[in-house]
Amino acid sequence: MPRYTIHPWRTHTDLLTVRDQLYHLDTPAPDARRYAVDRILSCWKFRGNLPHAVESTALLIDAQLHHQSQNSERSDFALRAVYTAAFTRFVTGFCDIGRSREGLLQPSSMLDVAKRIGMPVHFVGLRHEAVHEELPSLGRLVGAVDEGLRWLWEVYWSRLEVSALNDVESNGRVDDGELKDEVRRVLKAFRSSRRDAFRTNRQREAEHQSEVEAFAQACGRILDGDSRDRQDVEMFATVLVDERFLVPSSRSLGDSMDGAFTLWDPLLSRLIQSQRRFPATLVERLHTQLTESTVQSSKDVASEAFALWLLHALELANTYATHGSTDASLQAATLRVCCLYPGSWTKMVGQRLLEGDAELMADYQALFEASVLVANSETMEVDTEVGTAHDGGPSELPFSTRDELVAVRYSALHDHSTAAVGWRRALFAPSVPIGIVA
Amino acid sequence: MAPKRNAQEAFGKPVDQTQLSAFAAARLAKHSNHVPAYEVPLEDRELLLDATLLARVPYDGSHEGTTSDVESEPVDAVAVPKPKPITIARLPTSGKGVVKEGPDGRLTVTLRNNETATYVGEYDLRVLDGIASIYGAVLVPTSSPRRVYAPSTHALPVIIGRRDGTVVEVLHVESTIRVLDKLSPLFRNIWRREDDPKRTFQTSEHTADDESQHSLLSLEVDQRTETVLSRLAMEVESTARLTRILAVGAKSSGKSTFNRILCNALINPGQPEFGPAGQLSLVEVTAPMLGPPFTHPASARSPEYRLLRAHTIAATSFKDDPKHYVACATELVQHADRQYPLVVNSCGWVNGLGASVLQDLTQALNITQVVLLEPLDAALTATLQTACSDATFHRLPRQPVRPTARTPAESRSMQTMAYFHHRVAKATSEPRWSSKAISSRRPWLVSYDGPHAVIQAVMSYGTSPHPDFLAETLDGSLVALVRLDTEYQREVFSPSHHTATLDSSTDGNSESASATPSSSLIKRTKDGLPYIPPPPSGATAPLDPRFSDCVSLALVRAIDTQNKLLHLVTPLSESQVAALMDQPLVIVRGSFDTPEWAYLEDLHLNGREAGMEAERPWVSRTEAVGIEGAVWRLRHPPLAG
Repeated sequence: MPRYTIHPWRTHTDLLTVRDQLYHLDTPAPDARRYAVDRILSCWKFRGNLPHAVESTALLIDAQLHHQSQNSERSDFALRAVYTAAFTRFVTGFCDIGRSREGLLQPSSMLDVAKRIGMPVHFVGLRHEAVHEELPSLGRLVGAVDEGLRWLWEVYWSRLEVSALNDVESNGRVDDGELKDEVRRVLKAFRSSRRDAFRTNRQREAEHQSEVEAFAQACGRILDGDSRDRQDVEMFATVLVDERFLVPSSRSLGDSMDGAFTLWDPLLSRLIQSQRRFPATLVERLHTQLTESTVQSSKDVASEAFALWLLHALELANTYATHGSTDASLQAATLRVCCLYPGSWTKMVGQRLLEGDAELMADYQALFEASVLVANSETMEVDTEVGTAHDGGPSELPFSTRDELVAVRYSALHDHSTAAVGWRRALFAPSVPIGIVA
Repeated sequence: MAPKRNAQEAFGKPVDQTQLSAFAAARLAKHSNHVPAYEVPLEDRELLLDATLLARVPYDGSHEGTTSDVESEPVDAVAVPKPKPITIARLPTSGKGVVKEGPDGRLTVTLRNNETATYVGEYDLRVLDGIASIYGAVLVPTSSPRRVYAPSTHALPVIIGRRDGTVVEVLHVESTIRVLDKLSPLFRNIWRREDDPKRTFQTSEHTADDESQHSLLSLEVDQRTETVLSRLAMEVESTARLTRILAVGAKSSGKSTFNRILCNALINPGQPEFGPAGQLSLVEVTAPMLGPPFTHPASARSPEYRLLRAHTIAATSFKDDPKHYVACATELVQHADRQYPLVVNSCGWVNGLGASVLQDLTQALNITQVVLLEPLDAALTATLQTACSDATFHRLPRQPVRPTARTPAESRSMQTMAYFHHRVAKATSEPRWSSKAISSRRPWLVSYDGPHAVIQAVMSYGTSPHPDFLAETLDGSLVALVRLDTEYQREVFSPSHHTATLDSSTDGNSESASATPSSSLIKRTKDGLPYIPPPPSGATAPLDPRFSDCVSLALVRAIDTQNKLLHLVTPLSESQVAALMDQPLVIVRGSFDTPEWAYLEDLHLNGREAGMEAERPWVSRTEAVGIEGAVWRLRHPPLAG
């Protein structure tokens, strides 16, 4: 089982940004430190799981900012008290955590812990003095806080992995042209090899099988690539689908696709088995093909081909995917697309999917029918406020599921991007993690 | 300076050698379980003491045995209908009964008086002949089958024959709660071993050598407890007057278990504690509670554990505002039907502030029966006795300390997770749990700005975040949805007086709800989120419990600042939401636990490889190498100052 860490910053970049602001690594924006400190103490702290080093740094810097501020009412005691509170919490926290990690029945002293973790022992001394004796003088506190910040830099901030940042930066990778050409070359070669094999009727021979295997491996190498991100897979699927490798060029409406399926299946099935992301990416590309053409003409040969490929790809994924629930969620995703983009080919795909799966039928039939309804009668007048009952009480509620879905569907259509309705249920189960607007 | 001695002085009383064994056991149990279940505990202790490693640990009070950590449910008040008379027999002694195995996995067990049978897992229990008791509840042949949840993380309920020739049936069930296994490792391997697909339960002997090393303990009710229980039962039975029972004891002293058994004994078969952390609820219980808290969530639609009213303190501890806590509890109790006995599940904070709150609570709630669970501070006992001279006091000896398989934080997670996944099926009263990951539940899109805004304000209990960061703080966190009494929208935002009675509030509502509530108080962040800035004096006054109630918790799934919508996931049904649509609502945030379980469910569900390729806020994957093996680079010299 992989381990996951929950942290209060949304992305690693956020943490690095804050580090640069705290330690002036960035531009010298005057308020940058203040902003970073507030963000840590007045937001991340509330989110929980804030590493003690981050909290301590913010506390110590907050004390410095307090010292630098031009507040004339600030008393000497207030200054020293703020420094002391920040410093004490910093030291005590490290020692407590250390002791609790030791798990000894007779816990070590704070001094022992400090020695073992390489914290300057006079930190512990100063803490003790501040708590039990006189408040230390301002000069000593200022020095200790500086030193504390340097120590925190060494044990925590300097060790943050910058690689995560590099990942983000590499998102706009410059040149995938070469790789694309490579994909085209392999796909073309595969296609001719298969065609030749069929022509000479040796498609079942071992020699051809090993050729196919070699092609699959070549594709696998491209997809595995050097990076673990999804771009290679996406690029591969884009070339495969958008450049019409899958669609026979001389096809006319209503022709069978079996030839094309037979030609590509050996490669696709292997990729579906070996590349975890491939099924979903392929299906997504096919979705895009179906939905991007604004008018899905029922006479469009290519759309028909993509619709049939979509059904076939789902079937392949279902048969070959080794990864748990992917197949079911792919079907659901496809149905969602069919509902959102009603048209003759999405309707065909949707119906076929519903017929084949009772569970999907239960979940989506009402919505699907509603979407077809909308597509067929664009002039229909609908009360967009159904279901909100913001002035008259919930008189029309509760709806039966179907009615509600229809109502929501209409209001979603009409309101599209405004928040005119107080409460409304999201149309679809989101497929994005918590924290991302679906 | 002598730092060593002084440091010890500064941190906790020196541990008395003679007491070490008891403390040691508890402490060890605590430490060995402190690592979250999805982390691999590191073995080398030396490695643990590395400054960089410590630097990554949050310092949030969980490292000292501070007493401010309140248990998962700050208070539940439980009203149980008038009981039938029961007698509780002797402590079970021995014997395992005669077991026959049926074709469909069912076991038929014949028990003599005081013979016992214990199972781990999930099963239905039916009495065919005679009388049996479990968890304090008495079952007879006319009782309907009862669902028992006996995870190995908790003490196992024991089925006890109450007369010779008692025959009980233990039935395989269609599991409803085990759908949670896939969503969080906290729920894994706690029901039974997987080798017998026929049954959702197995006898506890079989699991004693389980390699998962669950510490299986039976839930035993000792003689003193039985005596107190039957005295309380007699009291409830014989007096016509109001009965309100409060158990007082330290953390993990067995209050909740005692209360559960007590409720079960008072209603003839039955079971309860309810709701997620931070919520105080009044629940009417009509069926026994045969499992740990997360198996019997209360809801307004549940026929067995009906939620009557709830308030939130938006925190796992009442330390920030004990007055509000007492005010909430007091207000709740006024909604309890006086003809039913009321069992109050108190918190385990029994010294300092906790003790004075307990005293206030005992007085404010007119407690008539106090059960003291030893060990208790003698001063507290004395104070309680002076303060409540009318109440009857019962004393229970110290219960053996049971090592728990989950930390308090983990238990709260389980409780909250079960709460969010819980559904009340229309047809049956049996609770069900949704197997979908919380992230794929369809959220409610709730507008917070503009003419149709339903959210009046976002309130912060305790410390308020900086308005610039309110959205960042709310995103992905837990909040309480609080409904305001429409007529009192104005009052509700004004400082609460925490008065226990409603005397002056029923008249003089001259200023009704026509105006926008306290529009002057409410400010907006740059994203348009409405909030109430804290007064110069400090914390924002909490909502007056007389004019508001907590509808449910919600997970802020996302914030769509463009369309001014909060995406909320709640356990409420669509009809419950429909009933809320025209009501003024406030979102209360405070120091609820981070819903880590929610961020990870779909990852757990989809297996080890899935999911991390996309952007996943607040979650990182920890490299298998571990921190020790990672290569660190020093990039810049520190420029502190």
